[in-house]
Parts: sequence; C-alpha cells; structure tokens
Amino acid sequence: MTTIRALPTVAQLLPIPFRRLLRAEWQKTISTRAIRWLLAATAVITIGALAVPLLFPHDITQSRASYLTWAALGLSRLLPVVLMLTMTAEWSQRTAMTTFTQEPRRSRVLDAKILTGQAVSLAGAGFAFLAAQAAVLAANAAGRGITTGWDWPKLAGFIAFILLTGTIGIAFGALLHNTAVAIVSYFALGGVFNLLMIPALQAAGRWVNTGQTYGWVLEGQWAGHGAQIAVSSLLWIALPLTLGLIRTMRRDVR
Amino acid sequence: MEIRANPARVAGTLLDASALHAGRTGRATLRIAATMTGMPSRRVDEVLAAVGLTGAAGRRVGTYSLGMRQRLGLAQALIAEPSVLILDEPATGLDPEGIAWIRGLLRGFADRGGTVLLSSHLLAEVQATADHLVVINDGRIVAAGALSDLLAASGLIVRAGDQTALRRLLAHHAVPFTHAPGGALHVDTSTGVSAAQIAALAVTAGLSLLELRPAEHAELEDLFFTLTSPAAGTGGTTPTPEVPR
Repeated sequence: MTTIRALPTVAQLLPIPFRRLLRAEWQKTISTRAIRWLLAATAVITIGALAVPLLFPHDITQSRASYLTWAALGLSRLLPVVLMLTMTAEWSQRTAMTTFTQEPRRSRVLDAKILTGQAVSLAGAGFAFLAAQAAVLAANAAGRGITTGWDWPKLAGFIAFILLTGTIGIAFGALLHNTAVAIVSYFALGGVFNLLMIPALQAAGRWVNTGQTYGWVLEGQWAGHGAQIAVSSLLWIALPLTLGLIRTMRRDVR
Repeated sequence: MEIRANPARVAGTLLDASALHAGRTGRATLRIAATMTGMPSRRVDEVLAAVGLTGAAGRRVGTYSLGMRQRLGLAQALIAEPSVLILDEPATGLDPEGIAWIRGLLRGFADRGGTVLLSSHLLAEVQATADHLVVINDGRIVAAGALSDLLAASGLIVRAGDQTALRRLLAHHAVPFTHAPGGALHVDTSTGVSAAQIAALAVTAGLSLLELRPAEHAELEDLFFTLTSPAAGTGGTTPTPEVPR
C-alpha cells in the first residue's frame, strides 16, 4: 500500500532539470524491444559492410579511410530509423499523454530527445570505428599492410556524417509522428535521391541529395561543397525539425 | 501557459491505460517515470508492490491485460507520491476483485488526506467511491455537491387517482415535473414547491392523491437519468435513458 508520506520538498517541486529529461530519454531509447532489435541489426549490418573491403581487396582501396567509409555506410542504414522511433513512439504508442503531463513544456522534451539522439549516434560512431579498426587489423593480419596513421579530416567527416544522417531520422520522426509513415517516407526519399543521380538532374541533386552531399562529408571533402552541404541540411534537417517542433507544441494529445 | 514546476509530484495522472509503450517492460516504464519525476529507483519496487504487479514487472506491457495496464498506469500515477490523483475510468478492464481492490486503494488514499479526481461512466462504481460528485451533461454541469446530498434531496413522488388531471393541475400551476418509473410523477422541488402545497392544490381541485412522498435516489443511476434526460425539469415526455460514451 502506498502512502502519502509527507509534503513534497521544495527541490522535488522545482522544474525538472534538463539532465533528468536527458536521462529519461536515454532510458526510453534503450528500453524498447523495437529499438533493441534495430540496434542489433545495425551492428550486424555494420560488421557485414566491413566484410566487403575485407573480402574484395582488389576492387576496394585498402586504406583506413576506406574501411571507415564502409563502417559508416553500414551503420547509417538503420541508425536513422532508431532515432526516428524515439520521436514517433510518443505518438504512435501514445506515451505523449504521460510525458507531456510530467513535463508540460514540450520543447524541452524535444530538445532532450534531439540531444539523446546525438549521444546514440556518437555511441554508434564509436562502435563503427572500433569495428573498422578490428577489420583493418584483420586485413593486416592477412598481410595487406594498411598504414594505421591518423587521418583527422577523414575521422571528423566520419563522425559528422553519422551525426547528420541520424539527425535526418530525428527530423523525420519529429515532423511525421507516425512510425510507419516516417520510415516509409525516409526510405522513399532515398529512392527519389537515386533519381537525382541521372545526368539531367545532377545539378539539382548536388544541392538537395544528402546521399551526395553527405558523401562529401564522409570523405572529408568539405572544400567547395560547404554551401551544398548546408542547403541539403536546411532542407532535410532544419526544415522538418522546425515544422516538427511547431507541430509537437500544438498537437492535441489524445 | 508556462508551467515551471514538477507537476507529477503534485498530481499523478492516469488518463488512458492503453497509452503505455507496448514494447517496454512494466519495470522499465516505471523507472522512466521515476527518473522524470526525480524519485529514487526503490520507489519503482514500492509502487509495483502497491498495485500487485511485482511478478509481472519483467514482462513487456504488450503482453499485459487491460486490467494489468490499469494497474501499471496507476503505479505510474502514484510513483511521485502525489497528493492528488487524476484518473479517467480507472476501473475499466478490471475484474470484480480488481474493482474492489482499486476502490480500497483510492479510499485509503483519500482517507490519508489525498484527493482523488475520478471521471467515470460506471455509475455504480462512482457511487461506491465518490464523496463529492459533479454531473456533466452535454458539456454543462447539471449537478454538483456531496453525493449524500444529491442522492437525498431530489423532489417528490406524486400519484393521483386521475393522473391526467394531476398532470393538468401541475402544469396549470407551473410546477415542474417529470415521469417517474411506475407511472407516478416526479416533482422538482428546487423551485420551492413543498408536499403541503401539492396536497393543498389537489384538495382544492378535488383530486385524490394515492402517493405523495419524498423521492430518494437510492441509486446514482436514477439521479443521473433524472438530471440528464431531455425532459429533465420541464415535464412531458418519458425520460429516455442514454449513457453517453
């Protein structure tokens, strides 16, 4: 039997500190079955992607940068979907009803979700880095002689690529609220981007196709592409995130 | 409106027992609630025990019955030791044992100084739980007060040998009435009409009264239908009971 022990202390009545929102969002992220499976699948795909440069040394450049690229591409297949789920679950699973009565200032919850998403991405980047590292060691054990010196621009590009790709997932989830719609839209967008690869549309694609612009990020080729990277990010991150924030602030919870 | 506080510490809410993440365990659900509201993690085990879910805490909510979700939702509402509980249909999906249990839990909460705000369409449930009552019909408050008062003072039951003449007489003197079950008339005394006045009117008109007594709503359901029927307070058609859902 629960008891009403005492009046709440002043500290308990104070607004929820942001670090507590962050902790709650982290717990939410790692506690659902769907996300656990997706993370497991992400790990498998990342390792599977690293098998490509390992198994085809004659077709694929044997360099540390190349292994990092394959790891990042593997990781970024499903990582955005993981982050999407952290945004849509509140609405699809209707937990918004609890969350926003506990913290009525919804924008703080959203901020916590976005930051938590970056933490998940960074953890993913760490995993992908270690997996690539292990693959390079394995390759060298097979006598490929990959130099293990540090390529800082490449490493920065690798992390930025993973963060940016994940944030697209966050933005889609924030805007669309519905898990199925968000996932389908995200992958449909990838299909549309493939169309932009045809020569007649390539000029436009260089500004909107994140498959292209974030490819430059991943390769550390910022120079000369800064504006294009920024425009595609505005379009697929800043815009949906802003609209999503507005929608989340206004939507009736039922 | 900017709310700068920790609302769940003051008022625990259970608004919809199906609004829980199906892919999370009961324990994980409560651990998140404890984090949000700043409660220590031992509180999770306390409320799990309080709602009788200790054994099922490791199972995913998706495998829970509606009654178990109600219990989990209630645990979530209780986790921050609030002094107010706001519950919407908390007995839905509970078996008779569960209903008796929640009744005892809420009673105990209220007896220890807590306030329970409960909305429900299960009138028997409300009658067994509530001290004060607000009846809302069509978006308007049609009755508010202590349950005992509302159930007590609710007009007069009048029956005459000639019901048609009685209806005509009451209508002529602008006495509001409705049709009570069993063919009698239910006179609304809120306008100040007393039993003595009705008797006097009948005597003057030469009507023999077979029944003249205070109406008592033994059941909240009767009161509810009297208050919410389209004919309430106007006389005329038989009340058509309809429980909005």
